[in-house]
Amino acid sequence: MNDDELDRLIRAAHPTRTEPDAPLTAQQRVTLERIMATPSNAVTSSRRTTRRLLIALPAVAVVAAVVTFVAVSVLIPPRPSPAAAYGPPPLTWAPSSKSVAEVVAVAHQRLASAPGPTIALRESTSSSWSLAISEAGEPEQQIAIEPIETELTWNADLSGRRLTTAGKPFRADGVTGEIPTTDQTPGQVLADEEFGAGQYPAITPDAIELDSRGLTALVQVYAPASGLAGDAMVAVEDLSVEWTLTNRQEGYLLDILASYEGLRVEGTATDRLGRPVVGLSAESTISPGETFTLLISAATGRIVGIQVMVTGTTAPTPVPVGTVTSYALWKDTE
Amino acid sequence: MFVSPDADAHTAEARREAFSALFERCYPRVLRFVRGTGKDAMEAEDITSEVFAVAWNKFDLRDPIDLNWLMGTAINKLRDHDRRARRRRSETIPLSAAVEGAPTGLDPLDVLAVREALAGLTAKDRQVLQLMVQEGYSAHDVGQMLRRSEGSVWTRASRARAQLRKSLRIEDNDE
Repeated sequence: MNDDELDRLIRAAHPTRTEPDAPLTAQQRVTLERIMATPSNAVTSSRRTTRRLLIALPAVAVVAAVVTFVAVSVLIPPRPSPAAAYGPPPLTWAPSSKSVAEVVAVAHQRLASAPGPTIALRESTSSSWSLAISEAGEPEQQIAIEPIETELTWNADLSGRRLTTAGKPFRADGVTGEIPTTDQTPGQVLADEEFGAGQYPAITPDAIELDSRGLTALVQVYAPASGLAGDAMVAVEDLSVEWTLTNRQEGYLLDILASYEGLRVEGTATDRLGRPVVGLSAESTISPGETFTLLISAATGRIVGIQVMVTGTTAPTPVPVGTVTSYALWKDTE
Repeated sequence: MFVSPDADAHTAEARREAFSALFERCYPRVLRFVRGTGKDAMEAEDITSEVFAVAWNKFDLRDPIDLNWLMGTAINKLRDHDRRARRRRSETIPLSAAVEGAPTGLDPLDVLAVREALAGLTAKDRQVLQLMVQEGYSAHDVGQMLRRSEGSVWTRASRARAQLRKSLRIEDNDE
C-alpha cells in the first residue's frame, strides 16, 4: 500500500463528515455572541492611545508617588510575598502500619454503619483543582490555588445540570496567612450548564444495578491486568465524578482495588476539606510518572477523593517531582 | 490630543466585525479537527468555543489572529483537556459512530482499525497525520501550528505512516 492509499484510509477514519467550510449552526452563532459579550483583555488601538495620554499627563504625580513609595519602603520592612508553585503542597501523611487488606477491612466496618443512599444516585458534588497550562502548552506557577466546586445532577435520559462555582482559594506555598487576590470570588458562578435529554455525555450511563461483578467488569475496562492499580483508580474517579454510590457499592470498589497488585498504604492525613482520610496509592500507566492516591474517609469508609502527584520524570507535564497536578474531593455522606 | 468616544465605539464595532468573520471562517475548521481527535460532538463544541474565547480575549485589529494560531491553541487545549480527564481508555469511539461516519464502500471495521492504529501513535505523530492528511494543511502550516520546523513535520509524518502500517500489518509498496 503506497502513501496515497494509506492516506485515503486515514481520511476515511475521520469521525465526522462535516465539511471544513460548513456554515455556522444557530447554536454556534449563539456561542459567538456569548463570547463577544464577555469583556476582553485586549484593548483597541484608540483605547491604547487614550491610556498613553492618561499616563503621560499626570507624570509628575507618578514621580511623586514613586518617591513617596520608596521613602515608605525604606521605613517599613516588606512582608514576604507568597511563593509561587505549580500546585498545592502534597497531603502530609502520618505513616500507618496497616496493610491494604486491613485498611479495606476497617473501611467495610465504617461503611456498615455510615449513612449512604439506598440506591446509587446520578449526582456528584466535588471540590477540585488541576494544574494550569498556558496557551503555549507550558505549566504555569500560581501564587493562589483556586479550586472549583461542581454540583452535577443528571437523569437516566441524560438530561441534567452542572453548576460550577469558584471555591475558596488558598496559598500555593502552603503557608497559612493572607490569601493573594484572585480573579474569582468564592461562590462566583463559572459555568451553569443545562443538558437536554440525551445531551449529558455520561461516562457510565447506568451504575444503579452494578454489583461486585458489574463493577469488576467496569474497572477492568480501565485496568485489564492485575498490576494496573493506578489505572483502576481512574475508573473509580470516573464513577465518582458523576455518581454517588451506595455504601455497598463503595465496599465492592475497595475490594476490587485491593485485588490489584502494587497498591500501598500512604497513611492517614487531613484532606483539603479538613476531613480525616486514609490514602491508598499506586502508579498509573494512563499517566506515566504520576502517582494516584485515593482518599478513603476515616469516618465513613467511603472514597472521598483523589490526589495526583508527579513522582517520575516520564510525567506528561514538565513539572518537578513532588508536584501535585490535580486533586478532587467528593462530598461525604456524614 | 483627544480621542472621542465615537472613535472608541467605531473601533470596538470594527473589532467585533473582524472577530465575527474570523469565527465564521475558522470555527468549523477547528471544530472538525477537534472532532477528529475522537471527542464527542458536545465536548468538541466546548473545546472549540474555549479556543475562540481565548482568541477573543487576545484579538487585536493591529495584530490579527490566523487559523494556524487557532489550531495551535486548540492543540494545547486538547492536551490540557486530556491531561485533566485522563480518560483515553474510555474515549473509544462507539461502533455505531464508526458506521455512521464511514464513507460508502469502506468496511466500518477497517475504519475502526485505522482509528485504533491512529490512537496508538504518539500525540504529536497523530496530530501531524490528522492535520496534514485528514485536514489537508501543508507541512509549513502544520509546523506553525505545532511550533516545529517544516522538516520535523515531514519526518514525523513519515515515521507516523510507518508506525501505522506496522500496526495495521500492511506493507509499504512505495519502496
